[in-house]
Amino acid sequence: MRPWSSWLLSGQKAFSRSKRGWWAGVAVAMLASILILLGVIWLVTTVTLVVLYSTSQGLYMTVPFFILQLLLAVAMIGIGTYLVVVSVWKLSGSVERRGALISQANEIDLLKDFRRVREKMPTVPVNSITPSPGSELAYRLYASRRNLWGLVGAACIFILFVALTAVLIIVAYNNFLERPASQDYSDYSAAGLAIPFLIASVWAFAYFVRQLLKLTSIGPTVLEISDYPVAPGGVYQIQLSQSGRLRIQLLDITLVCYEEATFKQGTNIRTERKSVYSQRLFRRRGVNVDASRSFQTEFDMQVPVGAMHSFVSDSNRVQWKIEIYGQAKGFPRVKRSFELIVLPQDLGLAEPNPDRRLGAN
Amino acid sequence: MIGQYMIDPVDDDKIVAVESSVIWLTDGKGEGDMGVHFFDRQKGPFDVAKLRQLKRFSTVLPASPFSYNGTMIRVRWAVRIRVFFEVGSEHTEDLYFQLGNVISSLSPPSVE
Repeated sequence: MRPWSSWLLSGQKAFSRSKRGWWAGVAVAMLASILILLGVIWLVTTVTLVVLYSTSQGLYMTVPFFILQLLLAVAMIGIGTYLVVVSVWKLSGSVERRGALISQANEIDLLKDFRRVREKMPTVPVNSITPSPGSELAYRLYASRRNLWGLVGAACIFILFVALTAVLIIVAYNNFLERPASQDYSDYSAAGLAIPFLIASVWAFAYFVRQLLKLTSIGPTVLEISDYPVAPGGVYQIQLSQSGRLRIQLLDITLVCYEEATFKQGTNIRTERKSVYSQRLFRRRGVNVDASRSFQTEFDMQVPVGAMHSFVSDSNRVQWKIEIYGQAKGFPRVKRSFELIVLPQDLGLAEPNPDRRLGAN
Repeated sequence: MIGQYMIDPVDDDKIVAVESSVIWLTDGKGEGDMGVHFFDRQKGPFDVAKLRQLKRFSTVLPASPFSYNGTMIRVRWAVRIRVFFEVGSEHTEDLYFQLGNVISSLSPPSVE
């Protein structure tokens, strides 16, 4: 097995046809998580002890020693966070996707003509993610961003609960040690409060692991399309390539159209989203994704005749997506979506309006 | 698109300006949005006889957005004539028209 350090520093993806590489990535992520946890506990313990003892019995430790402990704890958290981020980054995407994201700023615009065309189609959304050339079909679609914030949020909740639990345990232990020798009575309020926080910490850990599995359980999905953007009535060839190392119990691919409306409700701004069209493109049970070979399949997709084109305005949106649902045994259901730009049908392209004085927004 | 309009000033309020525009509007569950495709403003004073004559305007409509009557969103195109009176009031007339041939409620094909 390659050393983990070389895996971290290399540009190779973790799911690289090799279970060893994947397990190395998972191990690094787990060890880094433990490092963060220890750092948080150390930090909280140090601060709590200093606060508790400073008020009653003078300084608990010298200032330099306190600062040193703080720095070490923060360094553990920082290093752990960096390693987790690097691991997740490597585990959650293909090399191509990462490379594309990094070099997006310098990428030659392959769809320059399309950009020119869509300037004549106001409200057809300018897709910030331009497809790249595909390896089998003409274009490779980019998946929408995965829910990294869900993972970050879960990690923050977990760390918060662990920190609070640690504080309560320290306070409870301190109360126990400082009880008067003449009586058995001790203040158990902190200990009582620590129990629900401990339970919450366990729940938060489980939630964090679930979010992590959602992100990494099924390997990268690559979707290529024969032409792009698409138009109503057109039939397009789609190729799916699914890598990973699991047996996927159910793989379901659908073409979906959403309407999204943003409105004020009292003092809040709400966004409501509704699926208004759904067409199953592909469905298979028991897909074996071999560690050495990705699962590949091809199918056709027809955008329905008379369909509304992609549309975006300040408060309203019509969005088309190809959505992929994967369910592996023992893992949470995973959803990945690829946005499609659907052009207006059959009107051709209007010439610029010479009378136009105000631009459509 | 070619259109004509005329104004019959039945009130004796003096007309100070007339605006004609081709716009799209959204309504439905979300906040209403609007896009102005064509806009023209004529400033007064106007000769009443001239106002009664048909005034022609033309514009090349864009390829989007299409008129759409969805579940939560409706997109409509309109020719809007707005007349401003000297006393500060105004009067607006909208004439809606359809752009494109979008089917409002699509049904998915039967699953094999």
